[in-house]
Amino acid sequence: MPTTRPLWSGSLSFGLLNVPVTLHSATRDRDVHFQLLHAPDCSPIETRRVCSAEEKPVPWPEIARGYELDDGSWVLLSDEDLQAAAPRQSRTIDIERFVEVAEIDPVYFDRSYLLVPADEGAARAYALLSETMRDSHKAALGRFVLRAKERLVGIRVRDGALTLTTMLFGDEVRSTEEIAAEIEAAEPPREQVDSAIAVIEELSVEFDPALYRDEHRAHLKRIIKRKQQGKKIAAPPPAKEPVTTTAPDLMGALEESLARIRRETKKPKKAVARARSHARSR
Amino acid sequence: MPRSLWNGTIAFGMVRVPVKLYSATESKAVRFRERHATDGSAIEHRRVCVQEGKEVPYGETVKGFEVSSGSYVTLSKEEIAAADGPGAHMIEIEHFAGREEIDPVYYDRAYRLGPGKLGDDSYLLLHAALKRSERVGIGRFVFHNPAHLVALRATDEVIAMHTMRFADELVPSSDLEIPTPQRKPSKPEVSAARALVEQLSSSFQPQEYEDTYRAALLELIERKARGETIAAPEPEEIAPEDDLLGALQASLERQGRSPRAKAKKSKAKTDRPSSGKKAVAGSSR
Repeated sequence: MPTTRPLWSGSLSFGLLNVPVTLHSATRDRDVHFQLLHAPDCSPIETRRVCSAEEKPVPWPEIARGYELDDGSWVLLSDEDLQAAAPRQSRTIDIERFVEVAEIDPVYFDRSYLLVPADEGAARAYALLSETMRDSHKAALGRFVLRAKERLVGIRVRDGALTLTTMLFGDEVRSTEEIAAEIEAAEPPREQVDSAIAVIEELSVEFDPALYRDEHRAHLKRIIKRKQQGKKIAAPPPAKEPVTTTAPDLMGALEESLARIRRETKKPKKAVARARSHARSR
Repeated sequence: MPRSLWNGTIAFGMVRVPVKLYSATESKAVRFRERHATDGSAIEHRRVCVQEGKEVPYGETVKGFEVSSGSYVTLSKEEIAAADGPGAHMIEIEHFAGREEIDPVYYDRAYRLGPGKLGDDSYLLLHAALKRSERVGIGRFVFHNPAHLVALRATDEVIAMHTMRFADELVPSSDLEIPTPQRKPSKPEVSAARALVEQLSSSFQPQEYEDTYRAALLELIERKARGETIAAPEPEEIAPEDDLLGALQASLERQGRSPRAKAKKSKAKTDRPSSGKKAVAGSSR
């Protein structure tokens, strides 16, 4: 059983099957966090909620959600009110249908979670559903209520576990039409695309997430360490304006790219890729 | 035309592609503000110095990193900016990888790229090459401060960009110790589950999914504004399922009786079978 506390527990409902599951975050925060301090004495600063009418601090249970109507008046909603708005109950994830995993544009995906069988008894039904979905390359689409809000979710198998991702609704994804309509140039000539693909193939690696480090996080930690030792931190040099390659040079730029990459590719491809990313991080 | 968030350049080999960045999404969630439940007045967030108990203007604040309990290293905005290094306004593609190799769990925020000034030709070239090769470009992007890792992929019409999570930001499923069942699912169970998945399969049509919750919430706000009292829903009971095969077969039969009924279901929430019915069916085997 998982050691972390679940964010939610309930059951995954599929046809007449109910699989008791718990929900866990699939991501964890690795950012460097700062505390706001009062400059003169470096004592911590707290954010306090204050009632503007009474000028008094307000304890959390007295905070309500307010919605402003067009006439400027406010409607206050409690947690119970929000629950009443959820058209279904909060203890099931209802699978409505299955679609091909590859069919869902990742733009629809929001936050990811992992589903875990709630007990030994649920393990069989969980295994049955996840193996079926894995073998048929399907994702399940459904709805459920998390923190008093109903969400559309996609569930797919990743790394042996059912991964649940909250999804955006159709009207929350912007159309690309307006951007596409602004493009005036004609389709690029075939030989140019061939050359560009040759460059892409030269720079291609098998996707390995371990290849990429959060350089910003690492750099920030180094700066904190240097500051702790009493050293001065120099401001970064200003960025150079990149040179824009316009159409006449495109083919030349592609050919030069290919020549350069191939000169470097005496070594195995992966080692080069790694060396390149390291060189850049310095 | 939507407003662009950023003007910059993609570096792809020796080719420079001037681009404009646009947000790909817009939240339509109902937004609330904090109000005081007792008198309905606005809640203000105030920065208060813990030591003096007094409000502190923003100008007197500084960011501190806690190195040990109660002991901070302070950094100015300039020093935090120094962590970024040069390279602003540039997305530098480091590698390309196959489209299917990158699980969407790595994708964080979604954007679209459009061509920048004088960039139409190189933009169309990169788009065509990404599309035909079915590859995704992986590069570094500097926006405001952090040097994000980003993925560039071709949609039908434009280049889409996602900021990416780093490997150590994902929880490995092995951390969660998913129990293996004592008995593996049987062949009849596997084929019944497959048949049910097939029956419930359709193509993905994002516009078919409406945020019925958003509409219900706005309706509830209207009722509340008229002074109506809102009744809380009854808690439900869910019966756990032991007879896998029985439940699968019953589901298949129910589906078979109303072919394609499911496909229309999400449109009208009143058509959905209530979870109450489901619990009864589950326990009456």
